[in-house]
Amino acid sequence: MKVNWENVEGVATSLKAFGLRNALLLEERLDPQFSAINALSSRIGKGYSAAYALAVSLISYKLAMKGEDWWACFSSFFSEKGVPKGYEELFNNVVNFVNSCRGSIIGREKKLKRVRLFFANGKEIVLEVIKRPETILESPSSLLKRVARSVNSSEWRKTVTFSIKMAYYAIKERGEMKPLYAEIPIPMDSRISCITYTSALVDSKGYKEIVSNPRPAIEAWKAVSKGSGIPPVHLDTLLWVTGWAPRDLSPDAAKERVAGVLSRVSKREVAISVAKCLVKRPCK
Amino acid sequence: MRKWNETLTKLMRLAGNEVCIAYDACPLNGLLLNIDGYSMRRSILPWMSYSEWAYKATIASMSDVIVSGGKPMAILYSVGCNEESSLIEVAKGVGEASSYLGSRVLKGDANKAEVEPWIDVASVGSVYKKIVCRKGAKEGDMLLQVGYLGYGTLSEKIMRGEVRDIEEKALEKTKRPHLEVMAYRPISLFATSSSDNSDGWISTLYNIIDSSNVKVELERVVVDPDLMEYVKEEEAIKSWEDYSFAVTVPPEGFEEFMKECKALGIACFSVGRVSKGYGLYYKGVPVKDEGWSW
Repeated sequence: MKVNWENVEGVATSLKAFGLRNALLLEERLDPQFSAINALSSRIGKGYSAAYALAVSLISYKLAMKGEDWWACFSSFFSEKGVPKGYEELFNNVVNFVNSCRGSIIGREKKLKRVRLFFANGKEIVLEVIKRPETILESPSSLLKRVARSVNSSEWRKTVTFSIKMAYYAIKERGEMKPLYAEIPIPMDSRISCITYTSALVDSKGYKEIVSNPRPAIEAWKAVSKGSGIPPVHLDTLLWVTGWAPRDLSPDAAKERVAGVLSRVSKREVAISVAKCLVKRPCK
Repeated sequence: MRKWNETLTKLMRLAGNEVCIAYDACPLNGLLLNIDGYSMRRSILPWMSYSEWAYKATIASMSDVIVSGGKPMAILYSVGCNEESSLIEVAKGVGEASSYLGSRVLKGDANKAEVEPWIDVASVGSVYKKIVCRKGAKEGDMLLQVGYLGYGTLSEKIMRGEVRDIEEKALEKTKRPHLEVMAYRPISLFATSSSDNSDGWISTLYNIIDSSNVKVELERVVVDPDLMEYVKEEEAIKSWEDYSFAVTVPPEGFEEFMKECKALGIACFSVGRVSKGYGLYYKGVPVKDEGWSW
């Protein structure tokens, strides 16, 4: 599987016209995950909210509910708990959350094991994030490395990169246009793999091939990010909010849907141009 | 349960379809037809998506055709949703289920639901050899369980918080129960009566007991091996929405039935017998009729 550099350039150019500011606006207006985490931050403070977001992101796989419902469950559970009195209570709250939110029922013991591992190895990270939440904006790449190390994982793994994004959501305020500048690989789930295929950024047989071998796609999106000036984390949200349109609809209808979503924050002609680059062929 | 059955009989009399009372799917000119409807809140499991909800509704509707000895032919559906994105999900689920059934989707009807989403799925099948209904079980017949039990019980246990850790494939089966699509062949060739498990295994067996006026002696319940860790046999007797089939077969047809099951890769088990009298007995103990109703 190879990167198609010509298409990478086309997508990057259209997204450059769309702009970082619009990507940030899209995030706070259309991503329900942001709304859920933001609500928690306003209740218990950015630091604790970011610490919870880091820990819970690491076990946000194979969920028995939709992502938005999982984060709504997260937000209401930790809001009720209030501000934890110490590290021990913070850890216990996460364990109780995993045990009580139905979304974590698949492989719950494995998820708990990972939580324990993170709290055993990542105490410094957690305490630092609570004390100085701005560290997420200041040194996200280093945070990514440390989180990956704490759970014996790799920096490009989906839950690890996702944890930085969710921690960022915890410290981001509505209307605050502070992007997260970090070379964090885009978490390649099936939805992003699908749009990677429809935009023909890599020459692959179908999106499932991208899911099982995400490296070339990660490289392609890294180049798109560089060319467009939109950091990968924000690019991820932009792609995520376009939903499953490229998979569920015909290319023409999908283009129309994507343009419709993007034009909620940008000029219609710019949104159409991005949609054309993102949906070149059906998702198969 | 009895009161509900009386209401159903009354409804059928008013609509003029009492002729179909003993059928899971009703026959018409070589075809078998069925319709099932669900309101979302009463039927969707909290871990199901719209497409899985629609998938299950489609399987449920065609299950009645298959258990009556019908080969799946076509699906028609009508849905009401609050959002367009949900309609898309539903269409996807119906399409996937139809492919699984070896069927095709004919008409679809999309509506705007002002309050709660709902779905109706109509199924059409062609009679393979002969139509089999709930009435026809005779003393001396063998009772067979076709397909597995336990999915509904597992869902209930999860919702009650009695299962706290589960494997993905087990949870998947609560959303997409395994339906023995090819079972229409042995059923149509050899069965004397049949009914599918949508409202509960006990009530499924009572469909046969009431229509045939017989006694059923149930000796065992076969739980899906993937669910053994979570569901006990005694619990699975009340399991619902498993879309497994209760089938009665005369002793002379039993071997042929099982041979056909083996050839087609269908999970078939001898689980009891039909005898003179009335009612359901599980390992010798009488069991009252119960299951999902209004």
